Parts: sequence; C-alpha cells; structure tokens
Amino acid sequence: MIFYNNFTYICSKFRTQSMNAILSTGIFGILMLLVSLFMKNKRATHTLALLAVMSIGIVNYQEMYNIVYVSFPGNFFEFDRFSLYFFEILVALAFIYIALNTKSLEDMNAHLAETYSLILFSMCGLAILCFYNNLLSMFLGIEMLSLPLYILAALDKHNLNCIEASVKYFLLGAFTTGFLLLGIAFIYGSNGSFGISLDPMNSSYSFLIAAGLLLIFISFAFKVSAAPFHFWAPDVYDGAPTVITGFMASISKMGALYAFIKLFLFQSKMLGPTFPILLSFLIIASFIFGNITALFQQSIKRMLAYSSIAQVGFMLLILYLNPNQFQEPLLMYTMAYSVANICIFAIISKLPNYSFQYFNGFAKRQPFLAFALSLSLLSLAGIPLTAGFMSKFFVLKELLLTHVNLIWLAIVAVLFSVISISYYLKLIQVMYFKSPEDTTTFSYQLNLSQTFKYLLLIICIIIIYFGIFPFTLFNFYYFF
Amino acid sequence: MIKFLTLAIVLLPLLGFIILGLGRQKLTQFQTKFIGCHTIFVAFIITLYLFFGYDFNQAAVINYFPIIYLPKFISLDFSLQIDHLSLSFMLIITGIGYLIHLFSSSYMTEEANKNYSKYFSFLNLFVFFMLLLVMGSNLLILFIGWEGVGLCSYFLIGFWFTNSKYMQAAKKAFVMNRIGDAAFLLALFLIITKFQSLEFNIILFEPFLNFNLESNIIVLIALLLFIGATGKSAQIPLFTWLPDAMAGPTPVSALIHAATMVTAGIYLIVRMHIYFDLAPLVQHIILIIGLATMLVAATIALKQNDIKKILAYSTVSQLGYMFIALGIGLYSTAFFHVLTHAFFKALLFLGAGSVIMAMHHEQDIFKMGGLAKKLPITHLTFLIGCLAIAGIPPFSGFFSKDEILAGLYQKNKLLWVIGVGGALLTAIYMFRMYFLVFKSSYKNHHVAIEDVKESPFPMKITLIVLAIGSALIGFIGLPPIISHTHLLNNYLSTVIKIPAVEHLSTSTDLMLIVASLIIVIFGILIARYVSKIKEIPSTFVGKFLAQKYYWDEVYDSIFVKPYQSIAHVFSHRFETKIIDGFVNGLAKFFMNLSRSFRLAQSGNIANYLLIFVFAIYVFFIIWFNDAKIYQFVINLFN
Repeated sequence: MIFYNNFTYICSKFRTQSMNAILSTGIFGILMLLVSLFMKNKRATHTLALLAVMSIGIVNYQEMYNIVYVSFPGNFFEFDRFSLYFFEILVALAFIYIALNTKSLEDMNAHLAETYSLILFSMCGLAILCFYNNLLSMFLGIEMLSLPLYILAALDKHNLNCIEASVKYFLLGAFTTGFLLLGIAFIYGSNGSFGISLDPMNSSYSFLIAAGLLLIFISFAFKVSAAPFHFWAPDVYDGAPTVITGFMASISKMGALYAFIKLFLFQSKMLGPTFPILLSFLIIASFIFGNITALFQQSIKRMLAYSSIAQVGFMLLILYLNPNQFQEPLLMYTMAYSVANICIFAIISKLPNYSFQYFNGFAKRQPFLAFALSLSLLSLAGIPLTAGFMSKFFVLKELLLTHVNLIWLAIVAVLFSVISISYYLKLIQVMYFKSPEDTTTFSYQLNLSQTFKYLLLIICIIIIYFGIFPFTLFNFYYFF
Repeated sequence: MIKFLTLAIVLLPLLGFIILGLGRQKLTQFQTKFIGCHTIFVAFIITLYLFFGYDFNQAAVINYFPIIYLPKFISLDFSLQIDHLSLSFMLIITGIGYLIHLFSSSYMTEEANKNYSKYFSFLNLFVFFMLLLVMGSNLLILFIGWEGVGLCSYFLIGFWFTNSKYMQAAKKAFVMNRIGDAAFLLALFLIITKFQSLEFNIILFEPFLNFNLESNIIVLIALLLFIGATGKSAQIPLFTWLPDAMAGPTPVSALIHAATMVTAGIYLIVRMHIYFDLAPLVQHIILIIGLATMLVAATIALKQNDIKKILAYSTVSQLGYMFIALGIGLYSTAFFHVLTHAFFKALLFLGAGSVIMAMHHEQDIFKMGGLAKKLPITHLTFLIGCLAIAGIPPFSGFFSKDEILAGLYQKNKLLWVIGVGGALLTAIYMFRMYFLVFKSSYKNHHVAIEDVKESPFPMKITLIVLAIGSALIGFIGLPPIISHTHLLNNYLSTVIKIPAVEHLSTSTDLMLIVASLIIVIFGILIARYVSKIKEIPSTFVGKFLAQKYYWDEVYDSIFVKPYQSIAHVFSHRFETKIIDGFVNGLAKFFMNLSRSFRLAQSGNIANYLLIFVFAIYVFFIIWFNDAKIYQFVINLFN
C-alpha cells in the first residue's frame, strides 16, 4: 500500500511535468541497483540500462515540449528550455556511450548492474547541475556527479593503477569540495541566502561574496580540469578503466562545464573587473599546459587527457559571451567534443595497449576503426567538414562579435589549435603511414561485434553531418 | 515540379560522372556510351520541356538548401535560377553538348575501355559544372561552376597525360585561368562587402536603388569582372592558353574551347550587365580589348598550318567579336553571336576532327588536300561552317556579325572599318584552310589516299545536324531591313534591357551589308589565290605572324623567367635556411618545453596540492588588485 501511494505520488509528479529528468535518473539508478540483486543475465541488464536512458530521454523530451519556464518551489531548481534541451543532448550522448561500450563494461569484471546504476546516479547529478537555481542544489549536483565517478574510476578492483587513480581523484576532489563549501559559506554568510541571483550593490559584504565566488570559480575550474587545477586529470584519465575515462572526458565534463557557465555567465560582474583577467589566465594556462604537454606523451590515453585540458581552454572562452548568445557555441561544442571523445575512447578501450607503437600500421589491420579514429581526431583538431571545426568556429565567432578587443585571445586560441593539430595528426600518421616494427604484439585478436561497427559508422555520420549542417542542432532548440 | 526538373537537369550529368567514374574499370564501351550520352540527352529533353512548357517571363528562383548561413554576415543558398538567358544557355549546353557526346562516342573508340569511361565521365562532369554556371541564382554557384569547368578543362586538355607537352598545355590553361579567377574573386568580395549578398535578384537591383552611391566601386567591380572574363574567354592579355588547349581530344575543343566554356565570360558580363552600363569606362576598355583580340587572333590565324590551331585562333577572334558587342552595350547581340558561333564552331571543330581521324591523326593542312571527294559529307558540312563563319547569307554567322557591325557603325565609322577588316581576315584564313584541305591535290606521303575514309554514322549525323543548325539558326534574329520582329531580342528582353537605339535607315543598312559582303567574297577569292601559290615568300611580317607575335616568348621573358629565378632563390635560400630553420626550431622548442612540462606531472599528490594552493594564492593576488599591474592588465581588456 505504501509502495502504491509512493507510486501514485511519483506519477502525479510526472503529470505535473517538472523535475522529470532528476526524478527519473534517480529512480532508474535505484531500480538498477535493485535489479542487480536478482538479474544475472548480462544481456538483459544492458537492455534495461539502454531502456532506462531512453525513457529518461523521453520524459525529459516531454517536459521540454510542454513547459517553457518553471521555477521550482524554494528556488531550488529552474527548468528553462535551454537546460532541458542541453540535458536531452547529454542523455542522447549517454545512450550512444552505453550502446557503444556494453562489451567493454561487461569485461570490467564488476557487477554490471551496479556499474550502470553508478552511471545513472552520476547522470542524476548532471541533471541537477543542469537545472540548479541555488548554491545548495549546485553543491548537491556536483557531489552527486563526482561521488559515483570516484567509485567508477576504481571499477577494476584488481588493478592497482585504478585504485591509485581513484584515490587521487577522491583526495583532490575532497580538497576542492572544501574550497567550494567555503565559498558557499562566504556567500551565505554575507547574503543570508543560497540564491544565485547576487546583487553586489545591495550587500555591505560584497567583498565576501566576491571572495566566495572566486573560491567557487576555482573549484569549478578543478572540476572541468582547467589548468593550473588540472593535475588530477592526466593521472585519473590514465589510471581509470578506459571505458570510464570515456564517460568522464565527455558527458560528465560537459555537464560540469554547463554548470560552470550557468553560474559565472550571469555572475561574472560580481567578481569585479578582474574577472576577465582571471579567466584569460585560466584559459591561457589550459592552452599551454594542455597542448604543450600533450606533444611529448607516449601513451594515447595521456595524450587525450592533455588534449581535453586544452579543449577546456577553448570551451571556457564561452564564459566571455553574453547570456543570450552562449547557447549555440555550447551546444555545438558539447556535441562535437563529446561525440569525438566517446568514439575515440570506445575504440581504444578495445585495444590491449595504448602506446603509439601499437598504432603502427593500424590502418592496415583495422581499416574501419582507423578511419573512425582519424575522423574523431580530426574533429577534435577542428578540421573543416567535421563538427569540431564548427564548434570552434562558433565559439570564436560569438566571441569576436561581443568583444572585438579580445581578438588577441582568439588569435592565441587559434595558434594553440595549430599546435594541437600536431599531436592529433601524429596518431593519424602513425596509423596510416608507419609499418609495424614487430608483428608478434598483434597476435591479440580484437573482438568486435557488428553492432559496434555500425554504431561507429553512425558516429562518423554525425561528425560529418554537423560539420556541414550545424544549424540542425540549433533548429531543434529553436523550433521544435 | 519545376523544382524537381531543374534539379534533374543539373544532377543527371553529375550522376553520369559518378557512375562512369566509379565504374570505369568494369564498363564496356557500349555501356559507357549509353550512359554518357543519355544523361545529357535526357537533360536536353527536360530543358526543351521547360522551354516550351513553361513561361519564364519572371525569373524562377528555386532554393534548395543553405550553403552558408550566418545571419549577421551573409547567407548563401544553393539555389538555381531559370530565366530566358539561362534557359538559352542551357539549350546550347545540353543540345550541342549531346551532339558532341554522340560524336565523341565514335571518335574516341580507339581508347582503352578505362580511358573511354574516364573521358566520358569528365565530359559529363564538365556539362554539370557548366550548367551550374549558367543556372546558379547567385554569384557563388556561378563561381563554383566557373571553377569546375576550369578544372574539367584542365583534365581534358591533359587527357593524354603521358605526353608531357600536353600536360604543359593543360597547366598553362589552368594557370592563365587562375589569374582571371583571382580578379573574379576580388569582385565577389567587393560585392559581398557592398551588398552583403551574392543573389542576383539583390545585387542586380541595388545599383539602381543607390544610383549615385560610390560609382567608383561599381567601376571597380565591373573592371574586375571583366578581367575574370578575359581569363575564361581568352581575351588579350590572357588568350595564349586557348591555342595550346588544342592538345586535348578534338570533341573537347569543340565543346569546351569553342561552344560553351569560353563563352562563360560573355555569360558573366551579360548577366551582370547592369554594372557595365553604369561604368562606361569599362565598356570602352572592353571594346578596345575586343577589337585588339579580334585583329591579333585573326592575323595569327593567317599563318598557321595546324588545322586545330587555325580554328582555335578563329575562336579567339570570334570571342573578340562578342566582346566588341558587349563593349558597345549590345548584350543580346553578343548572345546571338555566342549562339551562332556555338553551332558553326562546333561544326567546324567536329569537321576538323572527322578530317583528322580520316587522315590518321595528321593535323597539318599542307599534308592534306583534295579530300572533298573522299569525305563528301564532312566536306559539305565543313563548307557550310566556313560560309557561316565568314558571314555569307543566309548562313547564321551573317546575321549575328551583321548586327555587331551595324552596332559598330553607329558607334563610330572607323570602328566599322576595323570590324569589316576582321571579317575579311576571317574569310581569308577560313577559306585558305578550306581550299588547302578539301580542294587542291593530295599531298600526304605517309597516308595513302585509299586509306582515307569517311567517318562512321554517329559522326556524320552530328555533322549534318550541326550544319543544319548553322545554316538556319540565324533566322531567329533577322536584320531590320527584312523584318522588324527580332525573335531573340524579344525573348531576351525579359532579362536584358535592349537599348532603344534608333535603327539605321534602310539604305544605310543595305549599303553596309552589301559592302561587307563584297569584302568577304573578296577575301574568299584571296584565299583561293593564296592556297594555289606553291612557295610563299617568307617575309618578316609573315614570320612574325607565324610565331604568334612572339606573344608566348614575351610572356616567358617578362613573367615566367623572372618568376622562376625569384622562386629559385626562395626555394633554395629562403625556404631551406630561414623558413625550415624557423619551423624546425619552433617545433624543437615546443618539444623541449613539453619534456620539461611533463616533469610537473610527478604523480605525487602533495606536489599537486602545493601547486593547487599556490595557484589559488595567485588568483587571489590578481584579484586583490590595487597596483600598477591591475591598471596595466585592465588596459589590455578595454
């Protein structure tokens, strides 16, 4: 009876058409956890996870169509059209991610249903981060996102590297959480509320508010792994299981980035006139550390970790934009960057070895995988006709439309992109133009299903499609 | 429906290109022939259907999809436009293109299957780009077609790419075209900056709206467009590529380098004629360039021995006539000459192809002779072509040339004399060739006269159809002394503003026609006399003309040689020492930097936290600004 009451309560919540995303992700996470008790069939678990993500997508879609603007009681959440659409994209990306990685997740030697439930909990955190309207819910979202990730990083329990990565991630994350809480406490102390609409003129403690915001700024910079707070990223990306790295580097990172943008796009004035300087400091440091360190890496995974730091530098340029123009670059960047990263990590998670030597002559052994990998790398590098080019183009275009005086920053960004091309192309060069030195290492047979290849093909089509018709992505937001 | 049909016209040749290009290893000659010809034929039928079945008094602009969509800067669509001008060009391209495909199908049979397919795929691709060029509803689509036809021209000139001389010719054509294209691009950029659009219905309307706005810009745009046109349409100073382009197969010369591609420049100017009307200075330049090209090419043609070279120079000279017409503002007359020229020059080239094939690839007219009996149909049709180009009534060239000469007479009587002088030269060089090839006696020692055989059926039928066309097409533009309804002018008047000049009086008109006729007949007689002389005394002038005014040599010493020596210096000194040194040094610098940055990633959490806290410290210091650094950095942002 109690269960029934709860059920009707949940259904009534669904009928009111708000919080669909947060509720459904949480419920499905719990459901997966319960399922793990009695369901041992792996295939059924995969199907259930995919169905769960799909239904999250559907309920969120429904909400997006019926509601334009809802502010939740207590100003905890706010459901506006853009956030709903952004979350919808994240769900779609998660669907692709899970569909691509079923086999790799299964090989993790962990309880499959638990893995899925952790991913879903982390998605719940993403949902909260998409809709938060309050420092408290923001904090909740960040922790909901991070805690499952700490566990996921240690998924391969018997691998010491995994454990090390997880512990490092957790320690550094906890350290940052301290700063985040301190920042929130400053703001609460001076403002008397957790609201994020801060008004510097009203408060006599504007100094404290700004200091709090600066601390939050720093902890967000940590979460999106912007230099000089990036040190966890290479170690964790390298140590964690590759499948999980794929999730951390794409979906969870973009969700954190949106939360970052959401807070600071509107509140940047609070930090005073130095905010643009701090931001450019962060951006240029990310460019330098990301791009230059990536040049010398011997492992593909580490190289991609550094490249993701460099990409964050580009994404943070969005913070300079006006609140009415950040949508297009953010959507485009989310799509292009995540799809390319999901594709790359899905492919390399199938491989036994991540060194550059392994990729010698890869195109001859696995022509299709090499093609998909090259396309994704080109997209990350921002070569035209791929979605990655369009994402960089939109960022720079909007940046120069608002701040003509920031053209030097745009030039710096482009110059560092040139450097980035060198390490992306290095992998392509190795795959296509080098012959393997030692054939014995390739006795390892790749176990690839036909579905995996078709999904990769779909990803390739997505990359090229959005490289040619980027506006379809926004048309869904504007018109449908 | 129109939307679909229009797209089908464009896409059919592209489809042919894709099928033939991908299947070139497998297709037999018959399949290739079938696909290659019929894609164009169906496109022609659809064009005819549009021509007769629909009314395009209002230009139909059909949008398909956006190419560039930047709301605040510029938006460009892939859109096609059909009006009377583009429809006329489409008829020429698909109609004559089909005939030439048909001709090629037997002309190229000696090629291996693979090359046969390759040839047809390029020819189809050419038709696709040419159609884009004339059907585009904005300058971007026009430009895509413009570049595409240049590319196909390059492929087809160098079709026998194993011959390095032919490759040189192809390269020359490509590079010369690039010079014109650069000017064309500049014009595009200027138009974009002025109008934020390239759509014809905007850019061809605006000059009227802002009539007195910066006429200098309009002059500049017109001038740049004209320079672009000189490249594609082989006018002085960029004409030297066209005679060399004869390295390609003869049907290619007929289609690309006589009937269609080289008239793209004329299409461009006719399409953009509003700009030229507003820039009388540019019109004068066009007139002068047209006259000069016409005379220079015609005089060079007098002393050539290669049958295709003569036709090539004749093409340059006829293009000169078209530019003369453009220069005096008679745009529809220019198109009229394009139309008649397409027929008779395609006929002449294909006739020449038929002769060349019969003579086993001999092109020197002094090694032919007396072929009239051996090749009756080629002879007859070639004669019609010669009469048409010389301007003998009632063949088509007479009507269009007469209109140009009448226009010249109205402009200035001296110019009329020059124009008639060109007509005289035309008659001389054409009939010199005609008499040397078909009359006189057989002079070739390598090919026995018994081996010379008339061409197969598809070639003959093509020649006959083109001959009928050359003979009759002129009647759509009758001169005012015969009839006052000028069908072509009426048809094009929806696109081109036909200038309301008063006609010459009937007696003057008649006098002009008779005078030019007498001169042309005189020219034919001279040619007959010249062709009979055994030894022509070599004079300085003769040598000068035979060497094409030393035009190539002059270009060689003015542009090519200095350019090559500069390039040598740059490639051996500047490139290896400075650029390579700089780039490699930069790369080495970053690699070293990378190596040292890597050390920061120690893997030790304590170090990370130290850097973390230090970074926070730095952030707060930056934020606690009150010093000079603050002012300095603030200035960066404002």
